[in-house]
Amino acid sequence: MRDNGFNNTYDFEVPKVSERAPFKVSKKGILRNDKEFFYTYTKDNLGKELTDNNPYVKIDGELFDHYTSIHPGDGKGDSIDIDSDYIKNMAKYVEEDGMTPKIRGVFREDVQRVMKGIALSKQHPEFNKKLEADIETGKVKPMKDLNQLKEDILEYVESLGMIGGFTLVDRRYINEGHDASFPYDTMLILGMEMTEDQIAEIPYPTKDTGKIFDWHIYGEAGDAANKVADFIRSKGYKALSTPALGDEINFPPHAVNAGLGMYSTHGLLITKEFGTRLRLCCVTIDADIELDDATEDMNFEEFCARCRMCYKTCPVSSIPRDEHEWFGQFKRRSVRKSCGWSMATNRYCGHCLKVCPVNKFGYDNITNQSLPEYNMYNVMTDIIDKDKIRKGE
Amino acid sequence: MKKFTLCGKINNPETHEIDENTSLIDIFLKFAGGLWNNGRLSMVQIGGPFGEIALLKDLENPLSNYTKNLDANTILFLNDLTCPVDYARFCVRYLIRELRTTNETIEEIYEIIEKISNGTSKRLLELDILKDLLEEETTIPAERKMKKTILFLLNNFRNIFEEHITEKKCHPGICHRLASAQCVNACPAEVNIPGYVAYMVEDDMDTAYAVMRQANPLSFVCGLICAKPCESRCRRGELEQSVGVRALKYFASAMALEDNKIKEDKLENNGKKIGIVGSGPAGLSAGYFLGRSGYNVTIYEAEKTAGGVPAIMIPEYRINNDAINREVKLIENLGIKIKTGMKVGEDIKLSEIRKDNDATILATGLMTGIKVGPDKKYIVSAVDILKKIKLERKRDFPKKVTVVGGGDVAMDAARSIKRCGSDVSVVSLEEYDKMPASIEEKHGASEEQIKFLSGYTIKEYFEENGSLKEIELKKCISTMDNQYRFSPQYDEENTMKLDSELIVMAIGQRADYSYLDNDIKINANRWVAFDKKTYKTTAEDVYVAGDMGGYSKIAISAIAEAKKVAISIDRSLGGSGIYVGKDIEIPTKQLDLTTWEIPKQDEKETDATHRCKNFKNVKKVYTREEAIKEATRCMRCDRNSKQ
Repeated sequence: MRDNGFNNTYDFEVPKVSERAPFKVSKKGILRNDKEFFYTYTKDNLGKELTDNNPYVKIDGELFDHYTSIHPGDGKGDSIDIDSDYIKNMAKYVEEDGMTPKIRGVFREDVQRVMKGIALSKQHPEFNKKLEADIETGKVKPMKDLNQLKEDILEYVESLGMIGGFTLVDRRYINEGHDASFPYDTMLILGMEMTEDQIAEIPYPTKDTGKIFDWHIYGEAGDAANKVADFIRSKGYKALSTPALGDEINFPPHAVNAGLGMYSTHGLLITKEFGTRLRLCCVTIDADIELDDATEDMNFEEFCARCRMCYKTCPVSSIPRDEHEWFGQFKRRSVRKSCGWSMATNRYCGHCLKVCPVNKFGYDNITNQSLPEYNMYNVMTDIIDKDKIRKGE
Repeated sequence: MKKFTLCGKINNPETHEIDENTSLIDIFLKFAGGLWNNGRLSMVQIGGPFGEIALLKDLENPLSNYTKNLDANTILFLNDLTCPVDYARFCVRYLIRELRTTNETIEEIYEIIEKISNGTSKRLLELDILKDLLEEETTIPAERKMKKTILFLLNNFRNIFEEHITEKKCHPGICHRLASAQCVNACPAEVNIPGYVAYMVEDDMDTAYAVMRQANPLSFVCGLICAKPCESRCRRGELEQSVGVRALKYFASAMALEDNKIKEDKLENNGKKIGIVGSGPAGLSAGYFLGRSGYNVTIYEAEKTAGGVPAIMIPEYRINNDAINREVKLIENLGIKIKTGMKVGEDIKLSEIRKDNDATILATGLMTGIKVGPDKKYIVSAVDILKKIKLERKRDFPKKVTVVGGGDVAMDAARSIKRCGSDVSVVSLEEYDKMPASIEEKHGASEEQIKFLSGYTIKEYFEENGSLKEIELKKCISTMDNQYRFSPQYDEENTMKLDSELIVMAIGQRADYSYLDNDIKINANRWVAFDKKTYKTTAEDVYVAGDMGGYSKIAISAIAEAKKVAISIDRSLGGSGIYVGKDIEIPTKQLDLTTWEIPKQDEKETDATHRCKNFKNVKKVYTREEAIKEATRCMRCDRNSKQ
């Protein structure tokens, strides 16, 4: 078990998951998303922002374990009235214009692939049952060396063109009614890149590449996640995949904990290699695989504070300028209500992805050139031995 | 021999085997290869984030002085844009977040430093508390090291820490929560650059010009001749190429000043009188701010035209008097009287002006050129030459002329004389890329076939029949010592000869204090003595503004100081603050999402082969389309910094 610093007392019985679950429900219960309507939960989506082993955010543990509200406090984005036209505007997702003649066809194909991925992942419990039976009869022998298993999995993940890391499922981020989707505690968080070409053609997706930057990856990543789950089952461990599209769990906090990257201005994941261009999905595994640590400070906080281009380019003010203290934590989070509206009306929007300078100039260039020199100490982990400094003399 | 990793913004950031007896300055020059863009070093840190720090004065020390307790084999070279407050903030954050070490004292230290860095700290007392906390004993080794590092910074840079608290100013602009944007912070006058650029994006040039005028009444002049400190600190410039702020300013002012439509309001006359000596950027600006606030202002100017250095010294190909007169006229429209051809000390005495007015501002700048060498007719100062060229239209010069100096005045003199048909050589102590003149002026001069003899100085003059024939030059090895103080070293053996008939000295200027009254004292450094906060001289009613006080070198900083002087005068005469026009709200429209794809719109100049034959303006204005494109490139840093 890992010490997460927030082991408060709990007086509620937890839905049966596992003994290792780091968080339990307090008396009032943790509010989660409403599964009925995807935009009603955005009114008060309440996922808590931060998790255990991320040292870069100040948290008051006790307050944090009380329930938080989603609203990041900026307020402007929330004033947009979405109820009337929202669904109608959704149709614009596939409306063609002069610049995107292929969009309707591409969308139709992508949706089929995404749906197929989701459907496949729903069958995983049955696959797992079959695996259980196979293990009993001796047909499949679970791999004993878990470190080797981890290596094999990561190698396989890489061969599928994704990056991955291991962390625990943080149950505060599971939306209401979706606990059953995460029966195991070890999470392999997976990220697939939306390529630079796809991002560059915003606001006219499919113009050159013939791919819609987000739907394409929803399909690809869902497919790949299912393959990874199959791979893990072939090694004798039960696994469940969760596709990239869905409202079951909040991925970025897990990705930060697994060391893939850091929080960016809009509260999403930002990484050295891909900036904010990752789509995340995950596979939960029934095996005590060694977990990854959060990364060192990659100086994104300092850099983003001096940039915030995404905040200034957002057409609906969904991205907050400042962090807001809320129940003991400083949170950054985009207002999903207006963001979703903008995604629908601005043709997949994606302005924040396009203007992120990490995409344009690369990580090394931006941090090296534009931050004070000493910040580089943070990322010189191969030269500076932190233990030596800690122990002294 | 030990392996060290050299880091920082240096040319060769690599790992080297270094003998520990090598001095730090040798390591910097030999292994690190200097800083990017000839940057200046401010300190060196050896041994990881909490390692020993060597200041500029310690650079001669051998490396072994600092290698007793190494945490890591690193040598970090910090440039002169380093802010000790931000560095201290980094140290404590590193301890808490990377080393995961914290306790109450550390949290308290972090809180105080964070407050200093974001401008919420109010009292200098906090520095004493911080010092006490840093001196507290501790058993945690990492905490002890962190405290040692921050204490070193606090002890050595206490004035900078204090400045962050009292003036809320971080000069390099690293503490980004203190300034609205790096460019605004770098501009001495703190013109709201992102603000007027935002109006330019919306094609509203008049409002853009009004935003400029809140801080700079000579925006059109600055659009032509400003040394643009803002562009070198442009945030976008740190990522790719900076926004062409000055060219934008030029375009917006030119558009706004067309057909004389600008009308400015002012406060009601309050009956108080101000006299200003000198109508340069400082005098005009002080007059503008006070005149707009309801004072009766009279400006006395010795020359026949108002405008100071831009009007009488800066050559016509850079700025012509039409340009200056447009803004001078706007200032006169506010009821400010400019008396030209009145030399104070000759035509009128300073004491008379003082008797007539409630307050007097001295703003006569640095108008006496410094000359060295024998007192001969063939050695003249650049100031005199430039004045003659611009005011008296002198065009006849000997065939071979040598300009001595490496600053902008030297470039002005060289390029002007070149336009009169002479062959010009520029002799400067510094190498070409280290010459203090701005890059565009240097580049423009070399395009015009002006010969650069960089790294030389005059050793001897050879006369023939009483007039100069030839000069002998000697090589200058270095101009500055390790602490960037001027101390030239020469190689007397390495010499060369150069044909020359006239020597123009552009090696500095002095203020003329001959007309001052007796109660205005001159201090030991031969500058007029004045209070750094109120700009008051030793006489109660006399203030000093602009270059004359010895604190500014460029027009925009003279303008900035003039505004401060105006505020100071207004305060001591019982006013309630100066009036700069109505508040203008800056638009916060979303930025263009293709902003990164827009290339920099270059400032265009006329062709070198043609322009070096006449005095026509060399700059071409942006077209409207180009200007709006360039304005769109602005990252609007003001929207995510202090507000």
